[in-house]
Amino acid sequence: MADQTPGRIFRQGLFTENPIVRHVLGICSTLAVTNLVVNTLVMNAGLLFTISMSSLTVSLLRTVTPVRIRMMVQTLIIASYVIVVDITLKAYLPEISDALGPYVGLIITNCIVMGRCEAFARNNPPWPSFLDGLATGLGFSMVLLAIAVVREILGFGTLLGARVMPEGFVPWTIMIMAPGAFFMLGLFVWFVRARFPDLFEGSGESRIAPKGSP
Amino acid sequence: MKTFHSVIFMFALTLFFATAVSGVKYLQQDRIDLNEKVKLRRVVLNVLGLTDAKDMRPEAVLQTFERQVQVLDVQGISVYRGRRADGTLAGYAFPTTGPGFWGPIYGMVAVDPEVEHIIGLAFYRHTETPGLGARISEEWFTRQFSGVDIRKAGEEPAFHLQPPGGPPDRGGLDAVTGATQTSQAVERFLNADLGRIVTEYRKAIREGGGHG
Repeated sequence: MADQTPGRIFRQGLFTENPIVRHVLGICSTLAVTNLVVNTLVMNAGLLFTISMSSLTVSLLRTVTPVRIRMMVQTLIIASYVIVVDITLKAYLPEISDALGPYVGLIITNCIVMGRCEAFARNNPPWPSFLDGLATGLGFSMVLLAIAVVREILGFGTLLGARVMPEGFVPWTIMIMAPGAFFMLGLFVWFVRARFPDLFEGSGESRIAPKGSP
Repeated sequence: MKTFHSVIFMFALTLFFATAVSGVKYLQQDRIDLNEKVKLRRVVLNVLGLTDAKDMRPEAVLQTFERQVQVLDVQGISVYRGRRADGTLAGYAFPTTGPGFWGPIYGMVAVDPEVEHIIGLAFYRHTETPGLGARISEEWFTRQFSGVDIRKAGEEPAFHLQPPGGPPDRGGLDAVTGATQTSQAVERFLNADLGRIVTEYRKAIREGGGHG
């Protein structure tokens, strides 16, 4: 991990190592919160805050954290930031907090966050780690937003609550439900990897990502 | 020695983060409490049909509640007596709660002044499956309860839920498709609470309407 320039970090986080398109991580929130754009935006903000701050904190503590208990430490750090996000939403955006329900708390188990802490932040200085968290979070947000826009337009006929489809449009109920998310995610990943192979297929070493998490 | 160091490190770090998070929570607690209060009062106004409180600003909700709703203490539970803007009695709202599929479901059911029919129902806090059981809080589900006759609720269930699209039948309302457990839970605890309203609370309300 010698050459960690901001440009490279962002290119990896957004494209060549996009957490959803390339690693298919963090799928539960991708499926759960993408039926309305506004929910997605708030979820993205929460995840961006959590992942960049967690990466920063894990990196700051990387020299003093005993290796054997690093997972506990990471979980503690991530959980703390997620609770702060949850409290803030409850205090300032109660309706959205209700709409997102348990999914804010579930950022704790979002494997992207722990994946970045484990694969990058614990071996790199604070500033690149912060940027790595931010870049990966943006890569995640980008995909969620793209899916949410399509699902809201087809499922409700609206975009950010404003009607965009013509009068008489019959909403596709399936788009609001979980299967709609599966279809959209699959189509999206297929589309971008087939259409922009240079951008998403990339070359270079793959960064290690934990397997088997939701 | 290594283990000892790890334990101390983890302990110190946990103490630090727990304190920080508690601090944030403490600073926001008043605001969160206010939000909860507004939410509950909004639900009360809604089920009593006093106003379309969904789009009302928080201050307006509190003001309207203050002006038109009286909180009665009936045998230890809070019952909300609502009056319309012209002062006539709109009805009573009772809290209703019971175990759902995943966790407790909290709701509010309003009845007319004679305690004979339901005039409004809402479920405002639950942890049912989003898209399935969680749909009990949607309007299409709660709206169908308006007008349900509860005069005999003490002896027999006032309503039952059945799969949508079935033959119309007395007291049969649409259940949530794909959420059988949640639907059955609602049927169970709401019927029980309606029974209690008719047999126990109605008398208390009529005899001077409690106090408060």
